[in-house]
Amino acid sequence: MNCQEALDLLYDIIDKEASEIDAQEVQQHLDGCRDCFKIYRLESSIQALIQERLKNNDQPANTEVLKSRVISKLDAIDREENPGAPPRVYSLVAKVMVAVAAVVIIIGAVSLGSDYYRHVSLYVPFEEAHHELAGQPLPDDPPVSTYLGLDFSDIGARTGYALVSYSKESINDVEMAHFVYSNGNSSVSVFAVPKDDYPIPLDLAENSVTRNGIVYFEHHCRTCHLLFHQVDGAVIITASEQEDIDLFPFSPQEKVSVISLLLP
Amino acid sequence: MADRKKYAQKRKEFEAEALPHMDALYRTALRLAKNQNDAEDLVQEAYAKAYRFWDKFESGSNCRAWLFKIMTNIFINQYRSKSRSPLSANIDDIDENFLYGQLAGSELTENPEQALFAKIFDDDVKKAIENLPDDFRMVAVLSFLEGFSYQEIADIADLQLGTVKSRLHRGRKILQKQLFDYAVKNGYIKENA
Ligand SMILES: [Zn+2]
Repeated sequence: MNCQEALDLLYDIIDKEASEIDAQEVQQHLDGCRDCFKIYRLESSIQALIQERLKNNDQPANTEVLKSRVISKLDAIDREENPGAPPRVYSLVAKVMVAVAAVVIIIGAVSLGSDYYRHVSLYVPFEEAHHELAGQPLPDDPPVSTYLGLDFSDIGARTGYALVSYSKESINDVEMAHFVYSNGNSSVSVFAVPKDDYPIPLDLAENSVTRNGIVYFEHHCRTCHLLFHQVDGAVIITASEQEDIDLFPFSPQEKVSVISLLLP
Repeated sequence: MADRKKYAQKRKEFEAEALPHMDALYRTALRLAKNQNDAEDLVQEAYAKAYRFWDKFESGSNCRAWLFKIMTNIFINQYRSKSRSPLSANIDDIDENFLYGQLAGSELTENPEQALFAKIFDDDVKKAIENLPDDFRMVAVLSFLEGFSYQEIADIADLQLGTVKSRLHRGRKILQKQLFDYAVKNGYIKENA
């Protein structure tokens, strides 16, 4: 094999596409030819550099959110191609996961600053909690519905949604009660946490909305819609991935306000 | 009822076979589309299309390559023309042995690993890849990032084997030129007159 023949096979060798015989002959040539050896070494170093550097590059910070969105898309196709089927419990779970992931991202963004990528690991407890919910039928009896002296059971009646699950979960080591409401197609999550354990994120202060005398802090982005507000001793976080759901009624305080508005 | 069972079975199969490839699809989508929003949309569209055509997928064959084929196809038809690379015009100007000629006798030909790895960073390579014209970037990403063989890339991107090889070759040369220019600009190496 001469130099030209050896160099013609350069990229086949680097890309591991050359036959074994060719590879052996090239090796023999390189053993005796310093010039070709240098070219091979330089080219394969650059190739290794490019591959390694490319692989190091950014993975999605929000794999779980992307996954939930893909699952929602599959759900939509299922409903479209198989209209008779009832909504499946795991589609509900997927939506809850989106809302939860969004909350984790918000909270993480505030308390961790640039440490954005830790969300993936922060998210883990939720995923486990919701896997347990998957595959189980919706409950006949409403689950636990009071927390911190607030009643969360009636919210559904006014919205057409029903309370379907209650769990205690921890986000960033802060324990929260997590209520999930569903109307069969979409779901809303309401988190409640003692106000001393969880200050409303400062960066939301600019986005305040006042409704029925209550100040809400709103976050609206491409993947989620969140409302934060304080009721008595609790901070309430209402979350949904769907933009068109009115989240305001999903508040235990709304009921009180409506009544107080009716009073003289 | 039987229909519903069949449906649940299809969904279960799809999730088990196709969803594990999401990270790989996303990282390639990010290099193809160059921004997170488009990349996420690309992955979602690919999964939606794959799910609709799941009965066309031959079980036991390469699901990963099949998903990449679907996604690449969507990229070619819907995303590709959005941006024009500034490099498209002068690809043919790059001399085949440009890099080696520039580096002959320098420390890079004597000890390339050390010199290159110390000075060129992840972002430099990412930028260089993103500057590649779409056609070259596509084959480069499928090969360098995902490790698909020439034949697999030909199937995925619907190209002749020879076209895959020549695009990879040119893509490599453009990448090398960019990384070299970068190193010169930052004073890591000196350009030969
Ligand atoms: Zn030689």
